[in-house]
Amino acid sequence: MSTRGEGRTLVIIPAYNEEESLERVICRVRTSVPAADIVVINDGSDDSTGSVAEGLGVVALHLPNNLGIAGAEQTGFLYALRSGYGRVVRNDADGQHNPAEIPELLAALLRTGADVVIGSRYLEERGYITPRLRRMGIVILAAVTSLICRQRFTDPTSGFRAFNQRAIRLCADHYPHDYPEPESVVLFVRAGLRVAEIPVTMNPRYGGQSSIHLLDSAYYMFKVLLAIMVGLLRKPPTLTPEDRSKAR
Amino acid sequence: MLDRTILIALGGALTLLVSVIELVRRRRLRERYSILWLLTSVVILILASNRTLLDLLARAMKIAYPPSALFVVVFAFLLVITLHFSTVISRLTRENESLAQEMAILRLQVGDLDKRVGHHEVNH
Repeated sequence: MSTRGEGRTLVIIPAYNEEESLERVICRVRTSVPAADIVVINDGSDDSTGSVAEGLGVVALHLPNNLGIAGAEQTGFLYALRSGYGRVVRNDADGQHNPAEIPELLAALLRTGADVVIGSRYLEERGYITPRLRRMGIVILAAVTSLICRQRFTDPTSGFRAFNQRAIRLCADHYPHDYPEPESVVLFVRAGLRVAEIPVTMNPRYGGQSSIHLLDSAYYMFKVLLAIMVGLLRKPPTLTPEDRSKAR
Repeated sequence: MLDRTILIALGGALTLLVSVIELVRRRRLRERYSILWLLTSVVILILASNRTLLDLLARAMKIAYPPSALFVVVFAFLLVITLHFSTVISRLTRENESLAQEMAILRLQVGDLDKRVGHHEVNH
């Protein structure tokens, strides 16, 4: 398993009960980046997400129980690290991310020299409509993240991202829990990784519902801000040569 | 002369002590998770059976009714115990997550191996 993906790109698709949209997402990823491998992390789904993934001939990792988005993503990073992939792209299974823009994320890795490239909905006005309350939350998180990182971030909640090997290594070892996106931006910057944003266009979701409901928004904000603040009290993670690349 | 409140505290602490030891004996409670409980019951026993010590403690805390001091101490121990178990739950969650992740990857590898072995048998 060590050299299977040498220097290649892996698209990580975490999926929890996404049987409706998964096939369409995978087809679009294949069209967009035919050379890339795809791994679906079936996060303990109750529906046929797992068999849909198997049927489409992508690599499917089946988690025995539901770990939530962060644990599922980290499984993908772990798989990427152990298989020696050089680059990872995170693409949602609900159709929100636009796989046609994956080549732009990957190109930006090279062009900007960044370790992580984030696709931002708000860097350019592209008509993405966000409910007002959520937009307010994102603006607050963006401000906090920018302030701590001393770098402007417009969309730290976006999960549409590309990672190089240094970033893959960090994520496999130190990925945050629960709602990882804003916290991980702070983590990357504090660990000395370079993070860049590029503008993207996101779609409304095909099916299913957001993992963050309106009623949970307050909890989400509190949890994420708490995690960021307490995270600042920790020593920043270091990129060690020996981490989870081998089974412990 | 022991008052009734103190007697109840003594009885409760003894029951707790015996229950914890019995749970450990039956292997339903691990030694490492019994320590805080044992400590709690022993502290109640000491304070409840030694009136001078309890009065001293109550005066130090400016509590007019000494047995209340006993319950303040018990409450503090319970807080420590629950906080301790929250950290244990967090650790178990993290370990459970790692296990699930390793298991998902192993399951894939076992599937790959199965396929390879299957081909082998067909060829020969």
